[in-house]
Amino acid sequence: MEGNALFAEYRIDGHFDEMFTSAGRPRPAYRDLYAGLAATDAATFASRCRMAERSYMTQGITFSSAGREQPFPFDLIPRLIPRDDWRLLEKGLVQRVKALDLFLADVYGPRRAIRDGVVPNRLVATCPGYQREMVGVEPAGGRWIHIAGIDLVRDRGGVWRVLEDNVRTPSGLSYVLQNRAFMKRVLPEAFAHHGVEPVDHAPLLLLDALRAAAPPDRRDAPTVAVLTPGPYNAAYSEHAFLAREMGVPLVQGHDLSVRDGRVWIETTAGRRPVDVIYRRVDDAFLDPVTFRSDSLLGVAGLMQVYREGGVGLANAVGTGVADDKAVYVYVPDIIRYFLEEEPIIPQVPTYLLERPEDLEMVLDNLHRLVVKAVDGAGGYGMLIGPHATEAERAAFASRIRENPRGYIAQETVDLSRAPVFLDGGIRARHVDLRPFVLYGDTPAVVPGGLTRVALREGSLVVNSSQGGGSKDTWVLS
Amino acid sequence: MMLARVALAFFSIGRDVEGAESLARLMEVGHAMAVETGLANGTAQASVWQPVMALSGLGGGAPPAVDALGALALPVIAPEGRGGVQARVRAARDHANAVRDLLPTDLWESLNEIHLEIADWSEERLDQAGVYAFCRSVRRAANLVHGVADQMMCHDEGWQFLRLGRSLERAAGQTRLLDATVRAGLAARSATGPEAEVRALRALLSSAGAYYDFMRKVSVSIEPDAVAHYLVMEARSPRSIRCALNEVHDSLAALAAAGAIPAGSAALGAARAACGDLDAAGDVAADARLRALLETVLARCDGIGAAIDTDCFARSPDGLRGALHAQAEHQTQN
Repeated sequence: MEGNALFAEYRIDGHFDEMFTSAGRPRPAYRDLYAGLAATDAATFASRCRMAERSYMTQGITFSSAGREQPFPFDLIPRLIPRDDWRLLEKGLVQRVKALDLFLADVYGPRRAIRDGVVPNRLVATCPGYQREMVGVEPAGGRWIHIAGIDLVRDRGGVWRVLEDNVRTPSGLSYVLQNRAFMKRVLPEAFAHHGVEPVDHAPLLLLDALRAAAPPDRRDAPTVAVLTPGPYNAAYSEHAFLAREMGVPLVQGHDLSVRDGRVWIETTAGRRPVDVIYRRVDDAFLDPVTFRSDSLLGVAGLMQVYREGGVGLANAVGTGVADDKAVYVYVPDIIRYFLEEEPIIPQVPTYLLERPEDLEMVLDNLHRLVVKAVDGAGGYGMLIGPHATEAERAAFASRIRENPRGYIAQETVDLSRAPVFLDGGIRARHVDLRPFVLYGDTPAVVPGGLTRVALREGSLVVNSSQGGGSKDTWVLS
Repeated sequence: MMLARVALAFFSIGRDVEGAESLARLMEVGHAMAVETGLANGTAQASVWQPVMALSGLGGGAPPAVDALGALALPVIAPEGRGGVQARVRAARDHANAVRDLLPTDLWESLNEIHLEIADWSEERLDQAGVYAFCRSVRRAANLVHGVADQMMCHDEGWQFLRLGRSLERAAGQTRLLDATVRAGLAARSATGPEAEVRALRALLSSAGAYYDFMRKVSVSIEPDAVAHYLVMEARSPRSIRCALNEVHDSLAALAAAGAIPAGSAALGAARAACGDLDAAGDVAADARLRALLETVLARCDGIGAAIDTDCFARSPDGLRGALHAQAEHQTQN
């Protein structure tokens, strides 16, 4: 682009661009940032990027991939969201999470939505995330989802859409805070002329949401702990970060025990009760007595205490039903049924492969669709048809025929692109956005969220485990 | 009150950082002696390299038959060596990672940075930059960690466990060093003459990190009895066995007072007994009685370690660790 050496290699190429309306013409929200970048030379910017990278390594802000710790690549150019856009997204996110929370209470309770034909019983009963042990259980505080990460994308027309719901153990909140902290340290001048909504209160919002999960008689001053699978888990640095920010213990399964209807932390000087556990362990590993008997990560007897209301778990057990990718198809109807409102944020057109007509259409059009495992995460177990080889599509077709219920297909969304500093210049890469909704007594949305970037040219996969990076996200005030 | 697993992690951080620093200092002194006198020189081998190898758990015999000074140091640096410097720094960092939510940011970042720096030393870099540069990095790093821990951590149970690990490692390490070197020095005294003895004693003091203090406070000439007495009994020197054992005792007493270990802890009893052994010894000389005293102190240190392990620490059974790691890796973080 003319007039700015850093942007010399920047191409819009017909995609929706977060920064520009057309070549060299920044959107109003980006004008000051663009002008600031124009005044920066590539060497200075590269040096700031190296500072940020070093800081990530030094601070151990990493994720584990194939057993190796790696820094989560961080791009210094923030993504900007105008205030009015954000207010609408915020409403849509709150609406969605409230509806999913009510849906879960209904699925494990009266099952009205199923009885009324909003969601097929067969679909719910075959969800990998459905936990029969939760039938009839009402979690303390009546809340099922305390933290949700809802993946949003913008399509070619710039329309925000929900791509996925993550309501089991959504990760990434720590990066929202750390990215902001790095931006303030490494590129403080970028904040000039911008009012940016702060995010550093997010751990306190999370703590409030967790406290709301405490048994009623202990709501005043509950003891909260973060249950981690340990340092070998990909998100361990996040677990440690959040525990520290909230000022609560970070525990592993073998640190806890069950006795007299309560959960206890084993300390050097005896036991101490725990009222709420923010667990980053899968349902199946939470309690070897109830679920997988070979689990080394859980606490024997935990489910019994949980069912009796002796401890709160966040998120509740069995929330996987609500982020099953086949149930996703029904979320607009779930919103209408439980809230009597129209969905504020639209979804991506999605096909259920257990429907014969959808199955045939999808198999005939794999070259243009995205196929995902219904319980997949991390960008694994998916096929991006337009980028796949013939052999990969054939292999996926075979898997789909064997288990149609296990997959859904979506129209390939041409994710919007944003500027990223790579190889000495600024280039356009596809991005998504994961905002976080924290839901205690009332829902709260952390301003912005985690913008994830597909760093490989043309790639639509933004997951860190597959070469993705992240950006700070500014909600302009 | 703290988690048993957390107590072990703090203890291990202190122990492993101290262990890495001691080894680095030993290696630096040994290397300097070898540069001057040649690898084949009996004094360098007996006075320094044998203790280095013994303390690193890499064998107590003669150093490997190599012709390059850097290569001589490699077994001590290499991560493959369980007791090597890199391995101990990595262990300290892994323990810190397990409790990073409880560490001051400066302490975690220092440890992590040190791990990254020390792990970056390869055979090639050692050839280029030299053993001294490596050892200096380790020493500086360890002192930074200890300093940050003392200045930034709340002096609660976590800090007491860290201090306990550091002090116990130092007490045992200095005892082993003195035992091995004095034993070798005593044997070689008549054969090698007074100059060699002075060099060996100076190397011993330097390896223990106490040379300049000794010279300022004790003597203008170095002689075995004074050196032995200083390294064992000088309570004001942080490098002496006496001071380290006092620290061990004080940590355990503070932990008992806080209820973190049982009031009648065998570890505390052993620490009291070890201090009592030194009190009873009176003046220390570099003779056969010193060796008996050092053996007693070492046994006390082992006893303290075993007792604290039983009283306080929780470990995953070795056989389950692999399965535990595999399960942890596969937990969904969507």
